Amino acid sequence: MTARNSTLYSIAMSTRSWLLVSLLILCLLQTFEASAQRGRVYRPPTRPVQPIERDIYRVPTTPLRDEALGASPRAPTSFGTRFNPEGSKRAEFWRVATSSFGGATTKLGDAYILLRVFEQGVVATTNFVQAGANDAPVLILKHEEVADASDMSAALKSLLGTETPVESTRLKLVFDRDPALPEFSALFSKEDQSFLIPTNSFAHADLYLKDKSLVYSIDRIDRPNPPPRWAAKLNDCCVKTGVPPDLDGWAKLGSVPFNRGKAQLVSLFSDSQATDKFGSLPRASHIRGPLELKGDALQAIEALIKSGDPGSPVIIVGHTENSGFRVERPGGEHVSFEALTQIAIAADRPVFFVGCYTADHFHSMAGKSYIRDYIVSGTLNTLHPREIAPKILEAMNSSSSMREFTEKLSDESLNVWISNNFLRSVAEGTARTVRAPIYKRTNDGRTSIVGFLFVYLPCKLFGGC
Amino acid sequence: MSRRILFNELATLLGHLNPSALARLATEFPAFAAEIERGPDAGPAEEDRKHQVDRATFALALSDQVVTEVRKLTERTISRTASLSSSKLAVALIAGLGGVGTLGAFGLGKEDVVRVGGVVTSAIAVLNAALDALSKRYTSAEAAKAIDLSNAALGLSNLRNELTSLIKNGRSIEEIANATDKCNELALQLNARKEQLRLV
Repeated sequence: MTARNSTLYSIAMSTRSWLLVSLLILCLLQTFEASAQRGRVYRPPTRPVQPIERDIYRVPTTPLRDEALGASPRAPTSFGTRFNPEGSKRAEFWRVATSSFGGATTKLGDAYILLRVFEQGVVATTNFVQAGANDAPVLILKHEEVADASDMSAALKSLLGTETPVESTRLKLVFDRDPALPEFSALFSKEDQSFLIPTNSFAHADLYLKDKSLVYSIDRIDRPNPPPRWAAKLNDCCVKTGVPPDLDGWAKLGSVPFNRGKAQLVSLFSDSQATDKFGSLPRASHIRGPLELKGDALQAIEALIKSGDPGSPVIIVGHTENSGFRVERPGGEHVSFEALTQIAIAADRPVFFVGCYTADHFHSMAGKSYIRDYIVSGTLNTLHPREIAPKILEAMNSSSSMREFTEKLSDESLNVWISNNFLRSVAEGTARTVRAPIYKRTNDGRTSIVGFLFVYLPCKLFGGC
Repeated sequence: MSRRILFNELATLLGHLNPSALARLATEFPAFAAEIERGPDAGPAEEDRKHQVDRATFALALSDQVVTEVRKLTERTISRTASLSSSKLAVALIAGLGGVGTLGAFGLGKEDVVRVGGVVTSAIAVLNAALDALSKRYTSAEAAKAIDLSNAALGLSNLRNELTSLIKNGRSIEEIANATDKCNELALQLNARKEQLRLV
């Protein structure tokens, strides 16, 4: 009996020791994980330029241009046909292009089109090797030829043997200088945020800018009115900005805190299913639907904002009408953005407005580049309450920074666009307000602005006023 | 563009009351199936009179079904209230008989029975009073719920009749939209109280 007790005792002791050791290991792992999270460098969906990719800049473009005049388009050899005579500058360019950006392929899906834009023209080539060929054409085009749809189609046909590349064919745009410089204005419109090169055949592109250490990943947005908008990705999915992106501002937005524990919601959507989606938020500190507003809507919202924690955000969602939210309850009222912002300023609280757009309101507010991004007319509330409500709840409950909140509002179907101007002012610590459009892919395959995110940030969030 | 005719709350309410009835209506009116699922803004926006009337007709079908379901629920609530009253009586009788039976089982004498009988009667009276108070509170809540539901069914039935008349007489879309809005708002009020009324 004593021996049995002794065995049991030793088993218990050893189990306890192992449990203690396991607990210690668990604690250490969590500590390391937390510190790793804190110290992790943010990686935007751009990537550093690989040293070999810089080789493309080493190939001079001027001799190519001269050589192009006398070049034979397709010379037969014993191993097949060659587009670029052996030993020629164009053959050298193709060799460097395929060693820098990816080897030759016979699959269109793996192919890329390379456009190297220099001061006097554009060199176009591809890694796609057509049947019976040993290489691919290297074309020298004038800027105006690249900007011309029919010339560009002819060039694509010459490079790929077809005018319509597959969706995954990537465009690699290599600019020898800043695309904002006047000589490149024929190729990229900053105002329209669009390449004037006919890019309808491509959905994605890699953008290389001389002397920049990053390759920018950019996507085409087929807005309701051409030309397509080209947007730089700020994260893997789906916050976007202008080209080229201001990544410093985006990184800094990650350090602006979002106090999720004390964030408050005001939902002005009347749909009871949308209200139910906010059901997990306590009624005492949130307004989950307009029926929960007592008395005058603006006064009720003001009371809620004043009652909360001064540093924590207020999120107001609803349908918009004439520069304000429509309070969807019997005898519905209208609360203006201006009045709500003033209340937030007085309470020193960051405020987020998330709403659908009404064409009249946004058309009067939008800059020229955004006008093309709206559905022409007649469509109501394309940002559906039942669609956005779960995203808002998820973003409220799990975000710890303003950047995270923005990211969690977006997904594959709803993209958020943040302007470079705002990101620049975030980087400088002067940002106060931002109006970020929310894009949605519609049934016709186009992507248009369906809503907006407006943010007011008190200066104290940037470490001082 | 004329005002949009909404039926989202009617669809949500029917979804609470009888999901299979809603699914059947969605099959009968396939044009509105997406809107039932995704909400009031999911349907096409610009609509001519025919489409608007179609929307109102669907709202009417939803209202019909909601009235039927609310009436069923009202009847169930009323029968539950009645059965609560009779169960209270049964419990009181069982308690009284049980008390006398217990005294007999212990073989107590007549005088003892008188003394102890007084105590037991008092206990039964207390028990009855407690039961009475509890069941009154419970039955009054059930009765209030039955009245609310009955009023809602009556109100929606009247609005439905008004809407039917407007559609049949080819009245303006504005008038039809106003009548449909009233049906939808009544459904919204019920949806907002769905837990209190135990609709789900």
